[in-house]
Amino acid sequence: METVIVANNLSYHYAAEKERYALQNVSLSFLQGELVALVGPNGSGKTTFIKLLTGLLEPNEGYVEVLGRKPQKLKEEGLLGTQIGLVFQNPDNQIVAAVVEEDVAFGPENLNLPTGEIIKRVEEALKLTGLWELRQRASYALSGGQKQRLAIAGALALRPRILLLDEPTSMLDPAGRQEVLNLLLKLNEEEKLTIIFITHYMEEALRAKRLIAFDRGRVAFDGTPNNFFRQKPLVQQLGLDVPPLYKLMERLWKEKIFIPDTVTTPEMLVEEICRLR
Amino acid sequence: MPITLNEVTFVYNPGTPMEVIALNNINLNFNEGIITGIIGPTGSGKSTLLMLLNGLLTPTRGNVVVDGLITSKKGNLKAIRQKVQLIFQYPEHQLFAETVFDELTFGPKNFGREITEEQAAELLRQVGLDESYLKRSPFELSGGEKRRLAIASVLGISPKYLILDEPAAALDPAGKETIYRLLLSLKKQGVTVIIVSHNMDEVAYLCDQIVVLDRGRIAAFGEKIEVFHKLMEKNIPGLSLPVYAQVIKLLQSRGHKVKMTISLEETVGEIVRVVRGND
Ligand SMILES: Nc1ncnc2c1ncn2[C@@H]1O[C@H](COP(=O)(O)OP(=O)(O)OP(=O)(O)O)[C@@H](O)[C@H]1O
Ligand SMILES: Nc1ncnc2c1ncn2[C@@H]1O[C@H](COP(=O)(O)OP(=O)(O)O)[C@@H](O)[C@H]1O
Ligand SMILES: [Mg+2]
Ligand SMILES: [Mg+2]
Repeated sequence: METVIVANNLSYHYAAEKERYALQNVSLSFLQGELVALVGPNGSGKTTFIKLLTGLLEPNEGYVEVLGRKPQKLKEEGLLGTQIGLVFQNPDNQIVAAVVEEDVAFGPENLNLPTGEIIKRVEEALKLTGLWELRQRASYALSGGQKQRLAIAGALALRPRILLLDEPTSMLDPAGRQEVLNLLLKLNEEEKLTIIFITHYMEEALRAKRLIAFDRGRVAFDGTPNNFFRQKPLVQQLGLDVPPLYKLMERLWKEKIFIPDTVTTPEMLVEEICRLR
Repeated sequence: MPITLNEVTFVYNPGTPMEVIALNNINLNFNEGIITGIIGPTGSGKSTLLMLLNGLLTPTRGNVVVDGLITSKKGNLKAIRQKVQLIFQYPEHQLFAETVFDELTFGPKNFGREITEEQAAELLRQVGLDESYLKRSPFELSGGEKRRLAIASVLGISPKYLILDEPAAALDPAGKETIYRLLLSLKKQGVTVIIVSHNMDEVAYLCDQIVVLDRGRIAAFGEKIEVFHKLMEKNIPGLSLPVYAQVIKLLQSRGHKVKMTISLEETVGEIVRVVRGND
């Protein structure tokens, strides 16, 4: 697999905080098609890391390469969005146009693409995110989950290979959260998009293929979610918790009911229970 | 005397093409000394309801009464604001001071109360931050740190009613625990707590009673287990059940006779019965 992002020995401190590092000696690389959850306590450096990957911040030490190039360079050339799509927490702050399809067209228009190409990309992005039927809607009249999918559609219209999301679900209702998470899983599965998302919901992290935990600016864990949640002392030390579903499975194992640890949703769990009967 | 809503309707931009009926004929009573959870899909009117409770918005029809004071009367507002403190969904909209210390002292000062550095540090500790934050700028905090600060900054006012829109969103799990413990201890001290939450497991854990809003109307109201029972039958788009209740519901839909619950141990018990064929 091709390496799409390299972060080498990154350190960063904000200007106002000279003696305190927000990120310290972080080295991580990401392969094409990975689905990664970033977790960690408040203030542990997750957002800072993502900002460094997208050139919003420049490291004090170390470097970042996105598909072999410095994010700053890509940004200067206006090409960053064609490599990395970025989505934030608050759905209301990310929408620029009054109508759904216009909002999605905004990015490609700024790339000065031919009209035919813009139309094609808008259609593709709207269909991928399940918003095709809503394309004529006023963007303010969307639900939170729909707005977040619109933000993702806007990013996808630039055809990036990587999608970075900073707590994309934390302001959404349960249905909205589910919509966005399912979309991420689908984009990763079907479009082979590399996806890195930050979350404080451990049940969402459980559904990623790789979990990276930050702690005070350093990487405290990098591996599969199941391996992470099995390490109770580490999970506790980081102030994180075990998702309710995983707790339930652990209790069932104690009762000698052996549910495979690949189960990540209530539906899958019930499927297994009925099979065991 | 608690907070009462009498036939409250709230309309945004009334009489214009942008008119939205955000709340429709709501009757509610928030009793003292308990934690009430307000849940409902996006746009169902939760935030609007909260803003009506401290007089930030006043009803288009009907009235809101706080300890006998009607919110639509201008002269009552200062007294109401001292009793009812509201923490918004996006705490960054609420922060304005140059330092965390100023942020913490501003509110109390407004109500004639000086906060010392030591007291400010104690307020921070209650939300899981230490005194090293006092000199920092509120705008240079991480998302979760901002949320914690927003909560700490109203504690200094010792409100009788504490209202929080999504208090735990953006908090790490330990931070959520800290806030839950704080809210439960405030409840013990007699503070009436009202929260809006999207997290069903949080509501199941924290709240005594639940209000379910759906398109501006009350879809259910009452003791939490009863409400979750109701939600199992009534499908409200946008809402889901706590995880354990979801598992139970899925088992029921496959014809297993299991009992509705939101507790881990009881769920284990029900599953054990199903697997052993005792249901
Ligand atoms: N603009 C800024 N100026 C100074 N310090 C900052 C700034 N933004 C963040 N920090 C500090 O840098 C550290 C890392 O913050 P960061 O925002 O990366 O955390 P995070 O892991 O995203 O946290 P959260 O889960 O709360 O969003 C924290 O100590 C924070 O207080
Ligand atoms: N400032 C506003 N102007 C116009 N309409 C609004 C405003 N704020 C909210 N609304 C509308 O009122 C309804 C209820 O919104 P809100 O109270 O924010 O719901 P919730 O907090 O449950 O998501 C929605 O239809 C929303 O679009
Ligand atoms: Mg962050
Ligand atoms: Mg709201």
